[in-house]
Amino acid sequence: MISVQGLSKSYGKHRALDGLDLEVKPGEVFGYLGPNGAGKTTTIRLLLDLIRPSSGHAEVLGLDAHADSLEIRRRVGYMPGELALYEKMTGAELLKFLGRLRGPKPPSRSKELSDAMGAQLDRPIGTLSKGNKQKIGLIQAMMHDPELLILDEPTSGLDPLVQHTVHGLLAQSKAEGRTVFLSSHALSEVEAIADRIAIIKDGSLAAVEDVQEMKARAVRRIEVRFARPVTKIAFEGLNGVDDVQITDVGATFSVTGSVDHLIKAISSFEVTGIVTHEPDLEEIFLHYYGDGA
Amino acid sequence: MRGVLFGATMRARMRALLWWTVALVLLASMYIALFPSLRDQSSINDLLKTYPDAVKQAFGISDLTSPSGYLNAELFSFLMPLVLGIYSIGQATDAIAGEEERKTIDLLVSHPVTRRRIELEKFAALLTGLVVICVATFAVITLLGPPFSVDLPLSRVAGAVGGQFLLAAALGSFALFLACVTGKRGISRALSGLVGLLAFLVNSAAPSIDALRPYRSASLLYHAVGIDPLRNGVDPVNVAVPLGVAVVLTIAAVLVFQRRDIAV
Repeated sequence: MISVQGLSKSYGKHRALDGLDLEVKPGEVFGYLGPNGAGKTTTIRLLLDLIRPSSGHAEVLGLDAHADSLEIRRRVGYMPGELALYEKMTGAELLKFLGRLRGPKPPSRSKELSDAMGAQLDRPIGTLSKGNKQKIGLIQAMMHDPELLILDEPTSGLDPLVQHTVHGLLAQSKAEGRTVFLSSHALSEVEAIADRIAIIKDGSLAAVEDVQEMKARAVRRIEVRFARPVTKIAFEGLNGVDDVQITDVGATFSVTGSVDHLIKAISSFEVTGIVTHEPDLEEIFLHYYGDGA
Repeated sequence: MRGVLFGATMRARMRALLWWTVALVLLASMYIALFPSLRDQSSINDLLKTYPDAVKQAFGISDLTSPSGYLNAELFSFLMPLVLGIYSIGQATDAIAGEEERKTIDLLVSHPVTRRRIELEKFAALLTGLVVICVATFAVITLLGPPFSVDLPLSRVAGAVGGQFLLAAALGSFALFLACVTGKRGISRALSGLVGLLAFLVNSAAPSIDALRPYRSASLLYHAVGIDPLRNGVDPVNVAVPLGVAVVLTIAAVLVFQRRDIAV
């Protein structure tokens, strides 16, 4: 769906992107993560032919990012990171205008999307809050039913409720067979919807991870309360269980992967309570890739 | 889709276009209405005779008692080029560089429209605006002129107004080119304004400064007003020069914009 080889972009001496390789598969939701200034927006703008690479090659939908850009832009929905809209137009006017740039047929889904997001389309865009502008930005990216959605920080500035709606729409897009490429500087924003996550740091790829695999590999803290005191020996040598600590009221365990062995082991005691802490991907990434990942 | 950007640009500029047209039409009407009283005051021309030639030439004043001399001095030498120039430079620099500065360009260029189309449709909207202002001015001169003794052949008025249009179009294409190279409105406007001013000064000063005389035909203002089109008519070369400049610079602007990065 997206294929990038050795893509570099320099501005004078500054290398915004440095030999990036990337593959995005059809039908997946791909999270593109990195701190501000890592090269996320540069990558996206190269894919859409807004800027031209210093070296390397990019393909989108199997087409050359530069030579076939017009066809790519016809089939892609894009929301810019630093979203700026025509402030004097109303949302409805803007959507109509952008729709007509794509062709005489009105975009099939603008109404459905506006309703889902509760967008305000009847007021001049300049008078809207950032969140409401963001909604219009999302609608224009999705309204023509694109095969591929490229969204640069789509949920920044949205309140959690709308963020949730957006995640729902993206999940729906995925269910309909669309591919979603979204960038973010916060893992917590994409972990709920992304199938795979790439980390970009200083203009090159630091890692690509499968979210489910990572979560499976993740270390979970589990606290168990027992009716009577237990000893450490009872839990030693359990598969996937480390760092057993006996407390006044029970014990805490670090579990990697499946919790099955631990559950079976504690079931021979009288258990009065269990608290599990879901693994925070953010912590895992920090653990693996250091600061800023 | 064809014409969408042209239409949107026209709609967005409608109000500005209306005001500039009204302003120029009112000024032209005022000058025309004042002509009879000015012509009858022979003292004005006597006074003019005492002016140094350099001053008279700088402001295109040859003879204020004939309709052609009067209009050439009052309207075509300074006021109309100024109004059309401001309109043209303002829009040309706004077309691409303005969108870049407001950061709306990403949205536009990421749609299935070529950069060439974006530029050409916006430039076509600019030219249409110039046509509107010019046609309105032509109409005022030809309709309001005769009752106030400003009676000129239609073809001569058309030639003079057409020259103004070409001058403004050429200046606009220069501004568009600069804006496409720099991506900045301010500097493009300043430089275009400077070139316009220079063209004005060269055309005005050349008749009285020997060293400048050979360069007078390099000034676009010479081809529009320096030739005194109301009296002498327009030669093909006076059309070819501004038209050539406009075409070449517009093509150059398109080529430059197609090749460069869109500013973040």
